[in-house]
Amino acid sequence: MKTDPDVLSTDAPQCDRCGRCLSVCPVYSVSHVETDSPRGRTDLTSAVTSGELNPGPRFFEAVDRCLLCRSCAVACPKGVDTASNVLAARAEVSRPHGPGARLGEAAMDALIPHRSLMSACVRTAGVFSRLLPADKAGRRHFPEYLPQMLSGRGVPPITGRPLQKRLPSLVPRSPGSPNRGRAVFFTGCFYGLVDFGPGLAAVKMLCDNGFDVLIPPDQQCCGAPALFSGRLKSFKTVLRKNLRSLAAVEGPILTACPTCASVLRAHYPEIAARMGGPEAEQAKSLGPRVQEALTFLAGLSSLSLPGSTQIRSAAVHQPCHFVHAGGDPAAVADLMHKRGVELVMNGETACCGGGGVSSLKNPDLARELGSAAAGKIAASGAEVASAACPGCVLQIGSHLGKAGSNMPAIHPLEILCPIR
Amino acid sequence: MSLHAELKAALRKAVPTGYLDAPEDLRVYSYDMFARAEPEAVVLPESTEQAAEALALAERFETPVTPRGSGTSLTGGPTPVRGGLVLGTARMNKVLDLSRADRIARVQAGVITAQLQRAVLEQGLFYPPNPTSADYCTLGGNVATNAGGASGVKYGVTRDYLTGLTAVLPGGEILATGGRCMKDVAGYDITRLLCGSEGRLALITEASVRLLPKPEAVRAMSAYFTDLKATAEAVAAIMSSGYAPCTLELMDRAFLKAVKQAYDFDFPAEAQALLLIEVDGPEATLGGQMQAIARLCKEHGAFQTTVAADETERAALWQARRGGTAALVRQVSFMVSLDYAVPVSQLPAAVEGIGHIGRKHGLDVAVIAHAGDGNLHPMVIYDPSDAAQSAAFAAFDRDACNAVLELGGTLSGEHGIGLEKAAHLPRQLSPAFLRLAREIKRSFDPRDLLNPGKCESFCSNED
Repeated sequence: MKTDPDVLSTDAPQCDRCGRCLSVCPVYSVSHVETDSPRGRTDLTSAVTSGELNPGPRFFEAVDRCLLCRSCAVACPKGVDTASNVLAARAEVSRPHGPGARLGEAAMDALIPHRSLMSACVRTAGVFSRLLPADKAGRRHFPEYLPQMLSGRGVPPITGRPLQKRLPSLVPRSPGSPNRGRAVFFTGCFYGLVDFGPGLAAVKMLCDNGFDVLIPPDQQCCGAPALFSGRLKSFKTVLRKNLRSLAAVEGPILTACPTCASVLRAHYPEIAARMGGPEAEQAKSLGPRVQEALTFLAGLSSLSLPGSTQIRSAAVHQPCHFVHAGGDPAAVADLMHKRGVELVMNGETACCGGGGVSSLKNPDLARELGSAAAGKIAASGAEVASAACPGCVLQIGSHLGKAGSNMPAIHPLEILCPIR
Repeated sequence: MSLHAELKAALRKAVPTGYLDAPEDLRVYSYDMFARAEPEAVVLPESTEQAAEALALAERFETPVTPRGSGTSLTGGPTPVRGGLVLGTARMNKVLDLSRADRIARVQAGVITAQLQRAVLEQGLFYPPNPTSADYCTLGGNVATNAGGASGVKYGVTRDYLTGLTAVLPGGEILATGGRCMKDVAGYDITRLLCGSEGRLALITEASVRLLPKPEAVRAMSAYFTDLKATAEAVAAIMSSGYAPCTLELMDRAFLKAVKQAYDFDFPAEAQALLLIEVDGPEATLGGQMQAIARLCKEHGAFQTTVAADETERAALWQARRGGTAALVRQVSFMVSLDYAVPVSQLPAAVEGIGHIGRKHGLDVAVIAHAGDGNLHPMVIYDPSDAAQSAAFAAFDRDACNAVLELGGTLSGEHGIGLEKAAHLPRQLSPAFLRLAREIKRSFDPRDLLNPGKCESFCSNED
């Protein structure tokens, strides 16, 4: 494997093979196969890098089955970051491709850097999704006979008009609120194009607390799907576009999606630094400005929470990209407490297996982890399940439905600031 | 090298969802923390019966079998140095039975030690053995190596909790030993013979362990000293005092410096060593014990003793102890963690001797110890690619072994022999012991198919 200096850091710490990562890896917890462990993946990627190992189909399985949850990087006493090694391998090791995979990659390269095209596709999909069968709770499902890839997961209701068409690009602070200056809202694709609820709630809470909220009209997808699938060229394209859009405006950059937050905050500076040029500096100063909205809101002095909620209790699932990338679980608990919602559970569930790109490629893993997490949440007896991540909300909602539970799954922002 | 096609096909049939032989799989089942050697196939049985079938097939095709838990060992124990099969127990991961009345748990070999600890705690019970890798090592591996850890000072080691085993003999015969009785003297104690046999005699597939009532409370204290030998003297004094701490861990200055860098764990500038001391039992008795132990520490030169105020402070001390080895290795290019034990009265002489030998050979040595049971882990920092340093390490290793033996100690307290210590063993064990060990090995495994190449100095088939 030739290593791309844009992705793989050469001064990365060496794995000592102690095995601590085995205790936190969601994939290993399902398969109990070393090849599915962070220690194994790191050993394999370094062997391919050094030329010791010629990558075969099992190599690609090993790197594709990583959910990129980063639990192992947090647990590793030496700071070995298997997810980075996996991303490098996905981007750099050429693999035998079927025509289907090529088509998927071409589609991704076309959509990720072009938001207007993506938006049009999502709206078209919304029309078709209404043709799918719905269950009693109103969730729409792919029929079981459709390819296994879809793993019987529910289809999110697609709301039609994107968030940016529902709101002006500068939303002024609420009358009577203390002036706290400007905040920038990064919608992300899911909360920008598919489900506008959490984004709307975030913007309203920011306005209620004295922020003029700017929603830059030229923002793009954060690029996570491209980065996580090894489509580095597309990722760099959106990175440049987003830097142009975000670096020019002032204020904290907030998002309701923890994956967007972690990509903008950590991956942008890391990859831009290796690209060099003006982007390196821009991304370096952009990174620290990015924060996941709940953590930001909980940190405000004298937070104002107008209105009230009907919801009395929630079971909160802590998304991997939230807890392992700067989100504060205590912040969610704090906000729920202020809203008067009882947390019957906060973060006692392991990775739900939602895992974006990886879960589509590995439906077996996604199913097993999803049903385990949903089972625990259903047993908690809470009124709603809540997770600050679109992938987790979808995954847990679907598996709650499959387990016969009517408990809805929603973003915490929708509990804190009920809009719909 | 590759397996006989007929054996492959038969193994696939015997363990349908747990047969692997892609180069990637062989590579990741080659290692532990000490060594590497690739197998020709990996089997992951889910039951004793599947494991027995695999061992029967292996014998029919004269193929070596190397048992493996999580591969967390420090001696090369689970590395298949003669090829053949790696038999991993990770999928035999069920707690089969947990009885409050009998105070017994019966588990499959691949159960993670912490998983057992948590399961019994939910019943108000306590499984004390606590190796540092408890969150990811397997109980089967603990039995095979007679794992110890920090709780050994009060509660002993894995062997002290075993009441029975299910194991598969080379050739596939299933052996049951002991049972669930607290007292059991029917026949030889094969249960304890298999414990610590490092996969050389039989493949352990199930274990029954006895459980204790959970102690009502636990309290932790740190004690800082300006002199390492004085620290060890304090340990010996505490152990002869009649108090029974459940943790008595020693960390020297080099170790603390690494922890400080990695975890922001601050310690007094003049400290040469830290003792992490814990007592457990009825809440009402702990304060007095802590005071008395603090007094003993001060009498032996401690300049600061602090009782952890809450669980957060206690966790910080444990993070230092558990993460310190990795913190140290993060800062140096290479480090080897050694394992010796001496009678606790000899601990002061042992830490002084190890320091002296390190200086003599010009090597940096950090010392940690499960001090209360005399179990030392000197960590030697050197560059194995440098011939002079490698020679210095070899000389250190030889001198340290001699020093430990002279103090009436043992060459391994808990890590085991594997590949690492095999050559040194005849210096500790008597000729009669070695002869018996060889005969025992021969009666269990006449064709030397189970974990061959390990512990050779004392249980090889070749006389």
